[in-house]
Amino acid sequence: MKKKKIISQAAMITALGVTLVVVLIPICWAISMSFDATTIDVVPNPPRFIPKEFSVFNYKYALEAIPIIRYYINTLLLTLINTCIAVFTAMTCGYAFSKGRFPLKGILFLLVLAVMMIPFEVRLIPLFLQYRDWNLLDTWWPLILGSFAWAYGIFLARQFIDSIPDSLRESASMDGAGEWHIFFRIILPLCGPVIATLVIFQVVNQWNNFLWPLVVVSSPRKQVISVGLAMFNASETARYLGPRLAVSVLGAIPLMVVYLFLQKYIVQSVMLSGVKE
Amino acid sequence: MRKHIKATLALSLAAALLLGGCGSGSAPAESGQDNEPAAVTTAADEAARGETASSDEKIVLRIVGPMESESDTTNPITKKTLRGYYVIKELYEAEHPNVELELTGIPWDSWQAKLTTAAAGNQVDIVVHGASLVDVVEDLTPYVEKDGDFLDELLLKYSYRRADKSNYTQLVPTGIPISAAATTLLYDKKIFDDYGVEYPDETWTWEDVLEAAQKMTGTDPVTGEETYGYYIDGSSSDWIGRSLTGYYFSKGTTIMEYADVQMETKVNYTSPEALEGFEFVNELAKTCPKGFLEGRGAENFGTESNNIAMWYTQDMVNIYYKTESLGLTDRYGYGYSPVLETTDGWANFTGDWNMAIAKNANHKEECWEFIKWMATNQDIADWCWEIGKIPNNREAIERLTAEGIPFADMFLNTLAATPDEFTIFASDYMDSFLGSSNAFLANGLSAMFAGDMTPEEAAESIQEAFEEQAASYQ
Amino acid sequence: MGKRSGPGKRGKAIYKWKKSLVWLSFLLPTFVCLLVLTYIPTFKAVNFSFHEVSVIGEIQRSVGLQNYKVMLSSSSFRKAIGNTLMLAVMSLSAIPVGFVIACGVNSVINKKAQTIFRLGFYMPNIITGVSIVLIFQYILQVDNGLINLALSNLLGRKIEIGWLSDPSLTKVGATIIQVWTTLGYNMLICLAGLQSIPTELYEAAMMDGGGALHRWRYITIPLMRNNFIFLFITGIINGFSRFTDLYILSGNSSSGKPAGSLQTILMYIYQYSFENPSYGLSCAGAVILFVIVFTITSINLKVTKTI
Repeated sequence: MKKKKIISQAAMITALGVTLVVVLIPICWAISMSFDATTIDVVPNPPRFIPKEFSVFNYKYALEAIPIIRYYINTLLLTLINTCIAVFTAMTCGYAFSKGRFPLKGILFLLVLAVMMIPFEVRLIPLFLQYRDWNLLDTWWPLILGSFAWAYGIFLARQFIDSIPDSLRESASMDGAGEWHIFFRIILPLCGPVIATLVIFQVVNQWNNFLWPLVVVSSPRKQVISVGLAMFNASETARYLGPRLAVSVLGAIPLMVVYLFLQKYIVQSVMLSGVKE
Repeated sequence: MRKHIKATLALSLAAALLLGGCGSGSAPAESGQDNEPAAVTTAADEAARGETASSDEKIVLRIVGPMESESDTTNPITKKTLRGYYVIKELYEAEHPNVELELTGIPWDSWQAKLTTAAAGNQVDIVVHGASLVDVVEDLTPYVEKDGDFLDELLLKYSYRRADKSNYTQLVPTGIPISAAATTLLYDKKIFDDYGVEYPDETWTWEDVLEAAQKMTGTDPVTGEETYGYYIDGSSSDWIGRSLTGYYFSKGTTIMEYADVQMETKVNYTSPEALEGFEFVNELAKTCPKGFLEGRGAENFGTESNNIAMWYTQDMVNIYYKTESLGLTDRYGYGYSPVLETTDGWANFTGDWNMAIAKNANHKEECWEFIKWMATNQDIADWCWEIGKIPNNREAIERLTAEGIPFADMFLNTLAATPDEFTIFASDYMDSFLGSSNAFLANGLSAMFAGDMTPEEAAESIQEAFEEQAASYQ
Repeated sequence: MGKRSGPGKRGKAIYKWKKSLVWLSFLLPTFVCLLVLTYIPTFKAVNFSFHEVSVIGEIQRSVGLQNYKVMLSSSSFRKAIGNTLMLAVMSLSAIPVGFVIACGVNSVINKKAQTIFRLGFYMPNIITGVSIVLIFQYILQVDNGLINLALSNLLGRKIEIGWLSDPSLTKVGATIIQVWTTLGYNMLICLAGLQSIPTELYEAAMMDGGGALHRWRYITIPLMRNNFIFLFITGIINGFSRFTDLYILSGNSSSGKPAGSLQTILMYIYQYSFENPSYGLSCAGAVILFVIVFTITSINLKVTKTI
């Protein structure tokens, strides 16, 4: 019996392993090609997975051709700012909707939920024109101000805070603590998991944010990395295989690094978010 | 925890204000490469200096539009360093100390809408490539009447475009071209020799091109390699469309029927003559390499291992640099575009890199001075040549092509045969700015090339797209 | 604020009022933002859709329902709707792929191996979308692309399928990219679902003599229903916001090259907003998009609430 199990396990692991390798082939190919000096303009045929002539020329060229460091910095800053704002406001609103008692609570929450059903694209044009009238186009304000109302985050936060027992709050309130005090001292420390989840979602969303920065930001100096990479794609030099792959790899590195360090939390958050629906 | 949050928020907001909020500021030189300060030659515009304001206050000109790179780049094939557009600022400010230039290059994506919005909102003085944004740029006729002598030094006089949407049959000069472009029929002499085909000359028609392309598609008798007769860059909607429009140009087929109101302009892609074009291009596409619909297949053009015989393109300077760096300048020829059969000249898509003055600009006089300077300054001409553009300046071209550049004669003759008020973008067979015309042509033609549609179906689908667009603009 | 002794009715009311203000202070920035940046623009968009709007954004004249009529009768808009639906449905094929892999991973006993598989399959999802498209544009090349080369070697003859250039096949190409990216996510969700199925059920089935396939069919799949529905609905809804990868595949334009085969509703709206501005039309298109998404989301809420 045991032997059968070992064989079937081995078979399963092999099958999964082969599938995994096939799935990861594009990544390996891209990385190895980007370090190959002979791939400047021609796609090697038959395909190679090990560079024929190892060199970092493609990367040097990529770093020169597009201001990728600038894009990194821009995206990092924007991610940091937006994550702080979005997660913080999600938590405050989540707390208010969960534990608060005030008039029109139900309606206000409905207004928040309704936003989730309105696709962003519906308000794209008027929002664009509005920012133009305020002279805020080609600055970062349009990319930041939206973070104050993250409907999905509010929803998740509220759901989580619901599960915190009221007794904790009430005893503090009895002692004369104000709501903000309770929020910072008692509620937030207990919200580790949901804060982690929200942070991870925000970071990934911000890094992949494309349409809105594309519309709102025109000067390359202020652009984020996803749009910056796409702009490179359209330029003359994008015909060259090597630099293009180098650029792709460079664009993907930061999130990969985050992933490698925080894999456990990320995977956990994803699985949690699915079940809690 | 509260302290941390507050501190982080404060810092973040401060950072955002610093970096994001301030929109202006000069471009930081990106790479560590040291650029040679350009020698300030005495340009031929001493007169210009007399007109600029004499006060101490600096005049700021905001120049916005699609431009090449801001900082230096290196071409990976030729290994040449190409200076960024900061040279414009350096050169001009050195000669005009009381003027400050703010240059912002924007990407090509949706450039018309973005530039129109910016120019309408009083944020731009000089619009690069602005000639086609007729709604928001100045008509240059009064400027030229007052001060148009310098135009004699230029090859192309103005960038003409159709007037605004309620006056569409009238052409107005809205821009001055800084660089001129012309199409050429690039050809690989070696492939021609291998197959025993005669080189193209200035009398070739499109049929001659097709015949030669068909002969040279197959297996090369000398090398045994597979070769293709022609190349169309399928990744660019412009060039897919031009394969068809070039044919109409030569034959003199009338496609456009202009009306006073832009969107009442009619097109006729289903006439027998128009259909001829579709069938012709379909045959031509069969002589192209497999990857052409994805914009690939021509990476080796200009090198030893090229396998494409002919390519109708505008990119002569860059191809020349490429062949020069590989020592192959003798192998590649720069033929004339196919001849115009109903009049003199060649089917040349005279494009240009032009500059226009925004209607809401401040200091319009200074803008005009700047544009004049750009078009006539010899150092700028050198920079254009360096980055692969041909300057629109007779003196510069004569100087730069003195050492026998193979395409010099063809280029000058082609442009000389182009009438002064001609503009390809507003002609009888093409108007790239009529809504999504480029997209419609590209859609229909790529479906036909991929074999999903017959020429008749493609023509009908394009006709339908135009008619729907016109209807939607009631 | 200390406790009052013997609060009168008025005192209590003031207390309650003050308390409400405190709660509302939690909500203030969010609601200001919501009002100014979400609701007002949405109403403006609806307003625009009934007018003809200039390129500069000024309302020229009212045209009633004409924009809607034009949109709905435009063959390219209907094509865009068709494309969107087709692409969304095709991307759902990532669900069975993810599910099968999840079943496999779930059955691996070695903890370390399981972790490696979990992380490995999810990795494609973490890579920036733009990078993925740039890479796949080479992998799906018609000549020399990895996939075509692999097929050529397998089948022994030269395969040159235009995954991204043949208008009838581009959706397949785009779906390959989409499935590759999302199979990890689908796998994780299914894995969570699988791991929440109590093992007693399996043991009971084994007692009754049910084979592996039998258990799979009658226990696993029915109990995974929630997860499947979740993935199904979110997949369809995400399909309607799909923009980035298709935009890049079209050569940085919203035209859905080649031949408009990849143009989704959102790209069509973008085309009429930025490439060929006619704001009245694009807002009408956006409102139509909203109605479609709203309907689907309502169905979603209804279905998940009844479970």
